[in-house]
Amino acid sequence: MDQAFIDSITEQLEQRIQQKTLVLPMLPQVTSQVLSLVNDVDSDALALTKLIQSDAALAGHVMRIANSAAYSPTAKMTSLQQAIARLGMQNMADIAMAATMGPALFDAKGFEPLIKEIWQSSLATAVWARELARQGRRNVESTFLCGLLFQIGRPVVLQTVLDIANGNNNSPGVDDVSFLMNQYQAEVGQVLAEHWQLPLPVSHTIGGVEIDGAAEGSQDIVDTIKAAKVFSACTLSNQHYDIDVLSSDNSIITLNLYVNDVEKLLEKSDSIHETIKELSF
Amino acid sequence: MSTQHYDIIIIGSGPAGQKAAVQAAKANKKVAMVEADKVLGGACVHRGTIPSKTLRENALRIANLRKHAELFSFSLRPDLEMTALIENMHAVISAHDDYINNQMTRNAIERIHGRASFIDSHTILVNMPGGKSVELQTDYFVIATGSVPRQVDNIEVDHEYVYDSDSILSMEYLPQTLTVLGGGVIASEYASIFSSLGVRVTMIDRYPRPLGFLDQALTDQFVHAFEASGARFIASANVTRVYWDGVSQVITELDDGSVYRSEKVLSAAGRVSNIVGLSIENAGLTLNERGIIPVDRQCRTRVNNIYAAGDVIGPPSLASASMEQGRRASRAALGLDLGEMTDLIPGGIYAIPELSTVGMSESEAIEKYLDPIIGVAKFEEIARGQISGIQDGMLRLIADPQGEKLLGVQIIGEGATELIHIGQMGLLAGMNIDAFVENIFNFPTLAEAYRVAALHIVGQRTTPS
Repeated sequence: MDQAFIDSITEQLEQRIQQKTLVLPMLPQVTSQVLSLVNDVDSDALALTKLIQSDAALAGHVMRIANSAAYSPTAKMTSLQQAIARLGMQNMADIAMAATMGPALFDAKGFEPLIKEIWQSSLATAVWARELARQGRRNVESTFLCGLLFQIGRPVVLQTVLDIANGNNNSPGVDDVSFLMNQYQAEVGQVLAEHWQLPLPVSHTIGGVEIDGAAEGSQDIVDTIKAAKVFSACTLSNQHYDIDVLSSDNSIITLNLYVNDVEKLLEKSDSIHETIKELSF
Repeated sequence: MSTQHYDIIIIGSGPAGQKAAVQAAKANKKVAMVEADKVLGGACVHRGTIPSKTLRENALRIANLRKHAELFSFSLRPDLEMTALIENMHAVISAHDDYINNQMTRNAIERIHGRASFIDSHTILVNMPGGKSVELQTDYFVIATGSVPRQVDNIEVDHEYVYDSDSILSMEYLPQTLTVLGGGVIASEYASIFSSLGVRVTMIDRYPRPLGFLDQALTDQFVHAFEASGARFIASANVTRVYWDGVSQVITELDDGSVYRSEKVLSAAGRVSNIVGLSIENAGLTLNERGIIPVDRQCRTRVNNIYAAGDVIGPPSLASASMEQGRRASRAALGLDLGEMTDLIPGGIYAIPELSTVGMSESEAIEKYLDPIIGVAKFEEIARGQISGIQDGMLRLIADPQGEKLLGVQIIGEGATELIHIGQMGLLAGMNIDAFVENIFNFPTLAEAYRVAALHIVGQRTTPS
């Protein structure tokens, strides 16, 4: 794609960011899964809970709706677990249903591998973040949610760029889309998190995880997600974990993890792989 | 690897470690303090005493506000977030951290960030985050590594649905229901605090009553107040299984077939010495049958140059006692005068209501004197108790069978941990019961309860004085 067209997309993307006309699309297969599960909430409660906690887009929409005045007029939910416990499975089923009805479905032919990569890395980061939070006696629920949503801007940018390009009868390449995703995902994610009134640590994580300095807030969670990304990168590449390399990574040191802590975490890697596999599509 | 030498090395920076280090530094010794955490202060500052008391203070404020809501025509938010309740905790911790750091700097104590592991009785290896390590040698060690929650075989603590005392305050919202497993100090404190905050609490213990080391009169009053707040105490119950249902509830099953469901569970089965990774066997040390490092009255272990203080040596496991143990350990190691070690340590339980005791309990007095006289003052009969709305409490004086010698003091009710010190000083001074009658206290105060309880004892004397 030529530079002029990139500039044109960039301009339109920035306009949509300003106007907050951004859409977080759902995966079609998740939508159909939700539809099949909400019919019998009692028997499918477990499966629906797992689904809500494993799909970044669904989790984001569920948090948005659960925190709306209709469901939570007096208090804001800080985690998916809290929303499930407070609102009950029937309400959660309604919310999941609403989440699948409102937003558009992904329409990104040719970009499926990229979407899969984003989804898997979000899930793997969330699962590792949960273990790191447990290890450090940090809040597990918030950390998991932040891991799941730390790059929620990526799919939004991806779909928005494709929508703009399609409207102009153009087909951007994966490299161009990746470039724009990297450039705008944090800003878009934060706009979305703020607009949807997602818990503050989510916004702090989206903004803080890509920078070296101090985050705007929730530093502990941001540091945990940074470290979780290091573990998840190993998981998603070849599942080879070099203890020395991991232990000397700055994000791991920042969390005050010692070599034997890393060893202990890696003892759980098989069960973490299982969890990721089980929750993946 | 180069080896650095110190006069004394303190392992751990909690209350015992701090006082040991400062004491040694004031004796002009070269001191190193090894701390595994990024920040100083130990569990006391970061996971225990200070955070839980902060939560407790806020719980009390809320309980008071609720009590007076009608008077001032307001209502509280129905769903308070934990983070809001402990929001000043970080400020308190940060201030404490600054204080400790300043103290370390002022006294030229070298702080070494890492995990210690004994090589021999004079040498440790300190592993640091990132993989580096350093070897340190010393003439004396003070082990002050504190304690960690006791793990129970049939309860898997995941820190997400099932918490222990180190992770319970990581919760960011108040659960609607909470099951507390255990009946000791930590269990009773958290169970009563969360109940005061409006959480529906079920406390399950294998013993007939919580805080079983206290006299029944106190625990009965505690259970009464606890249940009056809407909580339940399930006595003499054995937990067989605890598991998350995969959706929203944790299921607790008992051996009698009963089942309890709650949003969260706190497993509070006590705490054990924190010696993980310390390799104490390399220094010639072993834990005793109670799982603690045994020491003598000078806090010396079986290895001459190694001392231990604080929770790592077991009860009373109070920050106050730990500080004194740390101080004594250093002074003993350095051959300094120790002074007399008092056994008269007040115990404080920061539940709601608060409990505090000093000296002999009623059961100990019965064992020694057969027929002690107990004087009781109920706060509801004290003017200040009425004025301040502190009615759920009492003060008990334990006296010898003649009703003359003060043997012990027990208090339940708000302010108990402060009020106890009058009794402590009385015991230390060898005051008799009449001193509480003959001397004048401020009025109206809760301290008046001492006088009322003393009068109660006087009234029970067989030989009128």
